[in-house]
Amino acid sequence: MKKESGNVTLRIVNQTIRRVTRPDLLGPMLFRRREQVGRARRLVLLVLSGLLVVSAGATVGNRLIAARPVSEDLVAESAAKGAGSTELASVLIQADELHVGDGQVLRPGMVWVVDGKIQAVGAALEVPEGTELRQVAALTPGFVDAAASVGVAGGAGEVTSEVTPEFVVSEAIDLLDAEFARQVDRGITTVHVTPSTENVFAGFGSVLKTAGQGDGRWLQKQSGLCLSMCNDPTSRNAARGRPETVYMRQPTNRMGVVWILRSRLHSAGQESPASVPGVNLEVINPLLADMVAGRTPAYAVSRTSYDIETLYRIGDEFGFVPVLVGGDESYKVVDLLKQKQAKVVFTALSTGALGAERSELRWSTPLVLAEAGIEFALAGDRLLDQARFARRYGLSAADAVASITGRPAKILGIEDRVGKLAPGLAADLVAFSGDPLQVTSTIEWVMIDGQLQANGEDQ
Amino acid sequence: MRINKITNGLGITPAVVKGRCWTGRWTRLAAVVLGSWLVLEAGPVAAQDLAIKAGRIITVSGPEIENGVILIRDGRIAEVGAGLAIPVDLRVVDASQQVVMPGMVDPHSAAGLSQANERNAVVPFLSVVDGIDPVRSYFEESRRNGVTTAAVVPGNSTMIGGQAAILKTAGSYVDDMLLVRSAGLKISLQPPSGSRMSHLAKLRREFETAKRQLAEKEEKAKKAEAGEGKAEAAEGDKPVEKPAEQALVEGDVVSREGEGLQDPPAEGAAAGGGASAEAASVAAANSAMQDLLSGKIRAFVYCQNAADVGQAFRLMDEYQFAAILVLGPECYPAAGEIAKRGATVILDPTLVFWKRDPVTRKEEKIVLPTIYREAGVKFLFQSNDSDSRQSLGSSYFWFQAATAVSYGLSREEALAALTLEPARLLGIDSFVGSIEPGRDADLVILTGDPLDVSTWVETTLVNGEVVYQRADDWKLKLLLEAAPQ
Repeated sequence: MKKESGNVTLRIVNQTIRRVTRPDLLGPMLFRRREQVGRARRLVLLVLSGLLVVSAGATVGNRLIAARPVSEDLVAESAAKGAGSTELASVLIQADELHVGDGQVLRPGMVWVVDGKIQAVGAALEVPEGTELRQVAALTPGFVDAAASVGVAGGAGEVTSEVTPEFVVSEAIDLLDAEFARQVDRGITTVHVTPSTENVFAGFGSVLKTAGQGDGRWLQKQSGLCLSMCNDPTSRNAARGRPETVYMRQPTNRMGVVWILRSRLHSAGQESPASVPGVNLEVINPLLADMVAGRTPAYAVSRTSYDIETLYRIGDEFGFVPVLVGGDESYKVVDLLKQKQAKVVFTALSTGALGAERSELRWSTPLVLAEAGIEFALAGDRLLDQARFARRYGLSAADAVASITGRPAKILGIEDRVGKLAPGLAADLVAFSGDPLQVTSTIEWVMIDGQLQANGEDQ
Repeated sequence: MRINKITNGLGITPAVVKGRCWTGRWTRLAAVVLGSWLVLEAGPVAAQDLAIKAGRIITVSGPEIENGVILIRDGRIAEVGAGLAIPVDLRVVDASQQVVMPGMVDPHSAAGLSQANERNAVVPFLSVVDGIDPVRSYFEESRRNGVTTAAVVPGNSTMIGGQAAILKTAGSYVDDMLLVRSAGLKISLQPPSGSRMSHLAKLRREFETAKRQLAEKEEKAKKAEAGEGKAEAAEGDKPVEKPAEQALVEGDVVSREGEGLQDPPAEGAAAGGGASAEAASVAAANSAMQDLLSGKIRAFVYCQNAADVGQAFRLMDEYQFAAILVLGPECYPAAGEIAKRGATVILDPTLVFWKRDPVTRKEEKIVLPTIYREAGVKFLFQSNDSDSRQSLGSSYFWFQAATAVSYGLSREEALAALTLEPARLLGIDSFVGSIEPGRDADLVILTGDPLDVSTWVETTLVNGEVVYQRADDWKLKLLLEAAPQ
């Protein structure tokens, strides 16, 4: 894979040379150097840009400079090292249309990437010589899926108990699962993997990158406690032919779901709670207490309007405001969501009208939430298609892109690391052949932490 | 192939006939006569003649026309062009801010049927005409999405599944909708169970039987021509000449369908010059197969994988019949072979998928439009039976065409693949598929470019009659309500 990635780099570097040497393209290459570039880094970049730079007499001062061809040696060296190499880590990407990820769009715009991080963003930037140049029709931040199930090996639901807040989904994630590569191919660079909705207290979700090396991929090993205020936990008992012990499991209906939520939360607030068979209160209660106190976020799956209402009622009783996940019928309870300043991870566009609970979907829900000023993200399968169709259903283009980039990052509390094109954030980028929201446009390349990812067709 | 197009053939708009001709051809003719009288005497039909002022006309067969006019008379396109004078008797439809394209043609769909597959493996005598439910959501969705013509074809799970028909997507009775009654015989190479060897063997047996019957029939006809055994020939020919649908009326065939048809009678029974009642009915039941072998109709052959494609070509060569290939996702390794044949194929709605190598476990992204395009195969799309009503509508025609464009298909080719190309493949391009004089006035008025994600179908016309208007589409309005109650 590294080898192929290397070829991709080489190919694009070659394009760079061709582009830069064309006189008509030298115009846009005159960039005003940004002051925040450290002197040391600048020197490194100078060295990287080729030893001949100094002898060629180019000065890097506060003057305008022109980018110049990268030396052949450097190209060969870079290709030999492959994409995994951190050499030649300064890249400037010019886009006709640049989605910042927070609703802003620059036409045109530039992003300067240094060492895997975004160094600067603007309509025009000045960069040192030797900076690799890429030109694309459109650029967006890498997509953030706030409700994914990717990479969980061997099921994400515990059958023997309905209260498992001590479970952490990161323990079950196979970082090399092939599905991660598919996600990258679709432009998804960060995922919030949540445990299955079959338990009332399902456990902790995890936030991670879809590609990268080792521990660097984890953004949050424990994102927050995932609850299910919906019908799903009862389904485990609905099936026939299970061993009798499974039938001992609660709940068997919605009232049971509410009761378990309420009784566990109540117990967590008690000085000396009454013991519950099969539940280790010493472990569980501090976790729930942290959630109630707001130290741990709560992600609660509710789809129908009455479940959403119940969810926020329970939140009121115990004093916490969960993030709503699902939210199929959230258009019916807009006032409640507004009043609670709720955050919504909306997954119903991917599940369709015949969702898990046959809820009544309105295609216009993203638009309704946006107009009500409710913070929401699109999430679940086919993330880019969701944004495209959200636009078809009335959402503005900038909002549609933001709802799969900056907004989910903000809801997950990782907005200082991913989701936007802003200095200091990870260089997670998706390049398009045209308007990202048109089905006729295709993803040209995906970059995660400054690394070009080999896409499916090249493999 | 019989073109059942009486209504337009006589220059009468279907609206006149609509709702009356449910009992069959004679009633229909009576209605047509009545309609003609109405035209002459009362002339209310003239209100249906339209002039559409269009911001842009995508003719498909010719260049696009900016600010053009389409004149529609008697349900057909009379004239198309820029700067046409609009006769005073035409009602003007102002689409000057909109785009007009030909109604789309779905070349293969089982969604119009209440049940697409039979439990019997060999049912060539069945016709979808008997099973089409005009109220099915498929037709409503088609009109909503600008699909005005559809080949309704039996499903992919029956070996010889029956005969397809080509319909307009508007109408209350199937006879109102029919464009081609017998549009081809569906054959599936995907074994419902068991091995491919036995599936092919069974299929060959059916072909052999039909071939023999056809040969006998031709021999008898020759004899009759030579003046020998005239009486015998007439007697023997009679049941064979009957249309396939009529075989059903005989009763015998249908009531004994369980065993008798899966294992056709031994050679002697069918071939016997004596022509017993059973043999006659089997021959009649098989007439669609004979029509296939004599070139009167074509086949729709479903191939599940690349090996099936090879088998399809072998069968076509052996038995000399014409076929449209309907390809499952796994057929792509045969793209080169298909290109050599110059065949136009109908792709599975799943255009992009991932495939894992069984040995290396490495995944590969399969992009069907790229593979077929690079191999030089002309391909068409079909709407999906199951997924099409979902909120992300990936099986909508415009979505599939736009996806193909994102993988390198030209916009012109993509638009032709939705309209003129399927019409050509089905042999109905003299009726539908393009905007030019003489074609049926099956038109779609769009809010913008057909492949743009924000474009909606504003109006759909079939035979010059408005059959869908977004302004009246309460379902769509409800789904898109900006402030739901």
